[in-house]
Amino acid sequence: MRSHLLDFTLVDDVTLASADCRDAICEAVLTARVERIGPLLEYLFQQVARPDLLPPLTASAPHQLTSCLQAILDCGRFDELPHDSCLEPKDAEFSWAPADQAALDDPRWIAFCKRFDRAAQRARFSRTVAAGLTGAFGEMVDNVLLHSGKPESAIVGYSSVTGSFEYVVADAGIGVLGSLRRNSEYHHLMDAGTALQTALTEGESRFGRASGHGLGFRQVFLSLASLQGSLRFRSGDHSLELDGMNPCLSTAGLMQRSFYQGLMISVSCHC
Amino acid sequence: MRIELRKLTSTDVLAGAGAGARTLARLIDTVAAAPCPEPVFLDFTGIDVATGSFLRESVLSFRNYCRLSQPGLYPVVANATDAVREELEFILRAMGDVVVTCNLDAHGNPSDAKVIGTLEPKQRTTLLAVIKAGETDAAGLQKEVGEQEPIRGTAWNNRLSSLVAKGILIEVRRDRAKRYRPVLEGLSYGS
Repeated sequence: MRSHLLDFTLVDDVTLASADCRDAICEAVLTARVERIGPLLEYLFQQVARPDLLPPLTASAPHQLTSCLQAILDCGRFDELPHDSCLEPKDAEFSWAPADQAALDDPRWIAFCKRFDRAAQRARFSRTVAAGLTGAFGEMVDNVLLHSGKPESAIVGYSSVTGSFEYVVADAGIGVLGSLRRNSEYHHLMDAGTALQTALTEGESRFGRASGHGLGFRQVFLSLASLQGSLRFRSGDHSLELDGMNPCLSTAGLMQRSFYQGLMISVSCHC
Repeated sequence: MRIELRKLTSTDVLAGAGAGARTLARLIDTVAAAPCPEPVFLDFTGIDVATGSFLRESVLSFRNYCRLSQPGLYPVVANATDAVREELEFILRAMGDVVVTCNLDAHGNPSDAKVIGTLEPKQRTTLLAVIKAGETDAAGLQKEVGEQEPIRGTAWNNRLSSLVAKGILIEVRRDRAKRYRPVLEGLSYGS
């Protein structure tokens, strides 16, 4: 019987653990139940970045979600994904994100997005809410293409059970601080925490404040209106987390964490 | 001319700048030059979500493309849901821009035509004066609202041109003179 749950707290603990207690926490991770895709994907990216410190979860703890993720990892990249035009949603599914704009028209990606939308509806979210979540997901994938500098590294996923829906967009790119600092308007930003807060503010974009860009995260918040939601944005050595009904930036908690290369967005909501 | 976004994009969720840019390319491929000025109705029937990034890269860029390269075409957003319209208003406010929206029936008849977004006070005065006149020119505006706005004909021409550039006034030639009228009958702005 697995006693621990692989949640963000456990991922934070294992990535911040001192050498003395790392083995014990790693053991807890390896024997943990995996029920959420957000912590799973964050651990995967951390483990790939630090293979000497963290054991590979997918190989050591076979599980429906980890097996599902391993199948995608085995493909290596978006172009190698099997052709799957089925529109029937799955309980949980991962995919490499499109590595360029042209791949957004790939039938495999279009089918994945339709399954995403239908999975949200199957979880009992209304058609309108499901469309909002799908739109927010599309915006986050678009952000990866525009800002990460390494879209080929991005993995996305969704998971649904009745009454709950979760999605994740994670990349190993330059991160929010690195992206914003490409624009001289943001040279003053010195840490990933402030960069996360800035990036999530409407109208702030590495293209500049007067560009009309910087609206992608707005869709994430709009899509969660009237829902109970939990969001975790992870970049560099910070996380920004929100929780509760109608989550909004003003209630976000900023925490210093271990270093995460890139940006990970995890959203879960309940109806 | 009516272009159905649902058919053009094969989805009811329009999200992301990339998808917007690809839709712009399809819109450009779809339209042909118009010998006389005419509206191009971008019909949002069946679209549940259109994000600000998508609308910026598709609708606003298409409007700009038409003004520069297809001067006879005037894009109008038709049959947008409240959610899509709110998102469009949001991006327009952020960019200090405007577009025309309306409802469009199955026979292509527009109704409830509105300019949404933000106009500078001087442009607003000019637009309202043109709407009141139905069709006019710089001299006509100078005569009608010259007391309120004591400016020269050139300044009126500049204001009219800027409203044409935003796609809310149509420029028509009457012999050698340029005259201006709203892109749709019954157009309103504000309140």
